[in-house]
Amino acid sequence: MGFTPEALLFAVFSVSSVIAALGVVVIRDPVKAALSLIACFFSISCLFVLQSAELLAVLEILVYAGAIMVLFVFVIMLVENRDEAIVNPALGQRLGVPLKLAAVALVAFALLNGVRRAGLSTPEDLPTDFGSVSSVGHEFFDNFLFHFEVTSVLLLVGIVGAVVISKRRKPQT
Amino acid sequence: MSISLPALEPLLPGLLLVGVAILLLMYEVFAGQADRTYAAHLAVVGLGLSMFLSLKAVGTPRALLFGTDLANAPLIVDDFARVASALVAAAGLVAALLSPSYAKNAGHDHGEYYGLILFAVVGMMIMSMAGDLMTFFLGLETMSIAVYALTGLRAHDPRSTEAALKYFLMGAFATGFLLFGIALVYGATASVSLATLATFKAGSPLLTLGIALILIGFAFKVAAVPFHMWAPDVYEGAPTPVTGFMAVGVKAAAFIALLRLVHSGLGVSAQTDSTWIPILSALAVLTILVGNVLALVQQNVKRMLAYSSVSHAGYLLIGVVAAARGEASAGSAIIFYLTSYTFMTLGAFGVLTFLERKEGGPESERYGAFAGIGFRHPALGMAMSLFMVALAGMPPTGGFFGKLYLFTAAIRAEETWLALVGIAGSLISVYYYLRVIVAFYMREVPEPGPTPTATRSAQLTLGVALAAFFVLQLGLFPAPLLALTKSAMLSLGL
Repeated sequence: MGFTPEALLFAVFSVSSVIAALGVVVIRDPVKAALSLIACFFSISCLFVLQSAELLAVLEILVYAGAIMVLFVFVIMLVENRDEAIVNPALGQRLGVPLKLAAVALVAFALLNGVRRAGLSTPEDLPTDFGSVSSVGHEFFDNFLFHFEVTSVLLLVGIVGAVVISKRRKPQT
Repeated sequence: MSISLPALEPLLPGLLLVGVAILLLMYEVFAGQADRTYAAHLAVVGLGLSMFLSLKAVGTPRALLFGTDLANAPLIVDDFARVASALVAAAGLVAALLSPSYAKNAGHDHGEYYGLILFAVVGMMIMSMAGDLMTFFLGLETMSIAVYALTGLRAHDPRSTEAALKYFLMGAFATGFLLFGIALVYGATASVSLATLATFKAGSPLLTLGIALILIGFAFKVAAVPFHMWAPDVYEGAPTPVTGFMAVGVKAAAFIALLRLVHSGLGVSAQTDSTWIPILSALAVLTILVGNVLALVQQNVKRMLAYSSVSHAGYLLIGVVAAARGEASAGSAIIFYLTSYTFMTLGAFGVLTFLERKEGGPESERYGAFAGIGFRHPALGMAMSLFMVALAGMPPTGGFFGKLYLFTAAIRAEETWLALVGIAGSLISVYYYLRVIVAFYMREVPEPGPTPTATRSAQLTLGVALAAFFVLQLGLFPAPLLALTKSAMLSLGL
């Protein structure tokens, strides 16, 4: 792989996205963890731009970094100031950590090996309108119409489930 | 591409359920403090109708929706999908019958409860019809999210909240594996369609890794060892009818989707790539042994049933191994097993629902709490004995034929040792299933003694009676269901 500007940018943003994602897991302060998550989303959206998926990049920022993260931060602010909520892991869990890291390393190794052996470094020429709003729209409403429709059912179930669980009703007498 | 309304007819059983569910949600806005038994009735009618429509269409040609051929249709409505849809609708129906009196006691008598059950059933139906991995994923999530919410409904019991949170987190984790696997499969084959997947030769490491991650996601959903940790806590904390629904519905849908996967992509891969069979076999053996041994030491009947459900996933995995070996009868054995398992498990949870006490608590679920019930409530005692005997796999119940067909298929696929492990597991299981019967009939009732106050309700009685009827029916006359499962497997091209 030559050092094209794309490769350099890819390296920068993929490293920053991994570091930010690690930050979400490691940082103890929930607000800072949320900020780290925003950094992660931003890096990923830069990666999307590098893959010529501009629409996806914009949506990533708008939906995840914008809407969803604002909700996250709101929820964190509402349930803040409860230090006891974050507990020290038990000994058994601490012992499990190397095991989990080993599992992650194994998957990462298999993945790298797989990509190397599959030889995926042959980018095809993309159609000129790749990643544009209209081509993504055509995919949605032509090839993936059913998926699009059934997602609405899925979201409805999510909303109803959240409301049913969080709404405390008076116990019936 | 345009879709005309008549072309949607094969989807009617699912659309009907979505309609009823939305009706229930809308009506909830106007319903005051009234009793929600009507919601249960409406759900039962919808599920019954949906089941009838699915079964009625069995034998008609395969319908491809939103696409023109197997490679691009997201939905494949064939006999396999129809039989599976009828099965999950039946599971939802019995669960809805078990619910009204329990929901009133536990304080979650909402219309949304039944709406969520209906949505979960719709998700399961979509899983059984999925022609590509994306459809499968959307169906799985629709089902899972509905069940997460149902698990946490007992708002006044911290065990329920804990269960819902645990289930949600573990489920989200499993979903991560599954999605990552699907992404890798897409990376390797440039398609998510199962039919296209089948044309790819094994050997691409990306494909292998992708399928492995998808299998891990499955293993989480069916609580196969070592991905079973969540099961006991979730089973214990969820409302009892939901536990029953979760044990049978989620398992049935996952195995049915796995079966379709095995007969397309994974099956081809398994016959050319020798790594799958040992992995699946190891998963099956571990699941059977760990599930049965841990069930032995449980003191809480709901937790015992959770571990027993883990072990049943193990028996079913034997069937999956046989199917991956190309054994044609394995698929119909799995569907038969799932059907009989559905009725006996829902029946057992139905009896537990009957005996649930208003104050609840883990004490009321121990073996000792059921001392002498067999004499106090003779019909309940009989029913529970029947379900336990069926779960142990003894004749004259559906459980016996389920295990017989499954192990026969394994022997035919030259996996005799797996069948032997399965039989050994069943022998262990006899001990803890009979322990329930012993508690019901042979324990001294403690003097002042906490005795469960059976909650009487016509719906509950009907639900348990239906389950008992089908358990016996499948044990005495297995032929009609066997014919159905055979036509289901024929439609997959076997």
